[in-house]
Amino acid sequence: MGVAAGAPAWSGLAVRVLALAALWAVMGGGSLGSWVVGAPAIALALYLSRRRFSGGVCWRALPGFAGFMLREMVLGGAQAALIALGPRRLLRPGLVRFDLRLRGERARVLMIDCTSLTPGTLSADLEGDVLWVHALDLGRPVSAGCRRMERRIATLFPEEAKA
Amino acid sequence: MFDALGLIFAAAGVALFVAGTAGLLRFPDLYTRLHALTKADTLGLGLVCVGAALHWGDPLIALKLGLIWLLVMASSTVLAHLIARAARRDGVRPWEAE
Repeated sequence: MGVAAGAPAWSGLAVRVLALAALWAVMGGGSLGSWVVGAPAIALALYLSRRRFSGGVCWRALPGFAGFMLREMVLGGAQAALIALGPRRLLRPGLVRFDLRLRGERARVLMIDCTSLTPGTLSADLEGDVLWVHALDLGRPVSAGCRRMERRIATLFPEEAKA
Repeated sequence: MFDALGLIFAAAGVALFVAGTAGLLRFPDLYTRLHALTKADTLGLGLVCVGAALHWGDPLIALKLGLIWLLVMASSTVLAHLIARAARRDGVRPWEAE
């Protein structure tokens, strides 16, 4: 947290408290008793997410990214289901080495999580700048798909992508 | 009308859960099983949530179901990575087709 950022930091905290409280209110269905668990949970969530990251998030890119992920998820689920029910020869799995270009920590975490929801790929390990991707079918263009996902994620973190 | 549509979505979701479970039983190793669990089950839950939202026809319940889906999706993909990473670092070799 910056030294001169007193006021913005407090308003930022207020926004986060309100957002988490709204989330809990929806999940708890407005029952008063649920706050016995909710209030400590919100405090814990605030504490665990206390780290500050430099560089903003491009919220305008979020709807496009969400639409892209929804499509990937439907295709990924359908493909995994077909291979699970189909003959064994559809399965040609293996590990693929992918050199990450994303540098920011948040961008990389999102990359790891989204890759596992994309058709045929599962992020198995991160070693330095290398993401080990487990693929269900090595006959498909695994690296090209990961590169496309990387470019999509870079639109969400424009400042980190440039660095 | 919405009820029939909701039923179709829920049935499709259940079918994906069945397929995901089939993958869990039929796939040859830990990594391939994780594929089935994360992807088929996430989509299955999403479809069941859409079906339930259509059935109740209440925006607040739909919002709640959407949040549940997002939270389960996030935990399932994070867990899949952590399990795969632990296995890889433990030296578990992926199964390969002959």
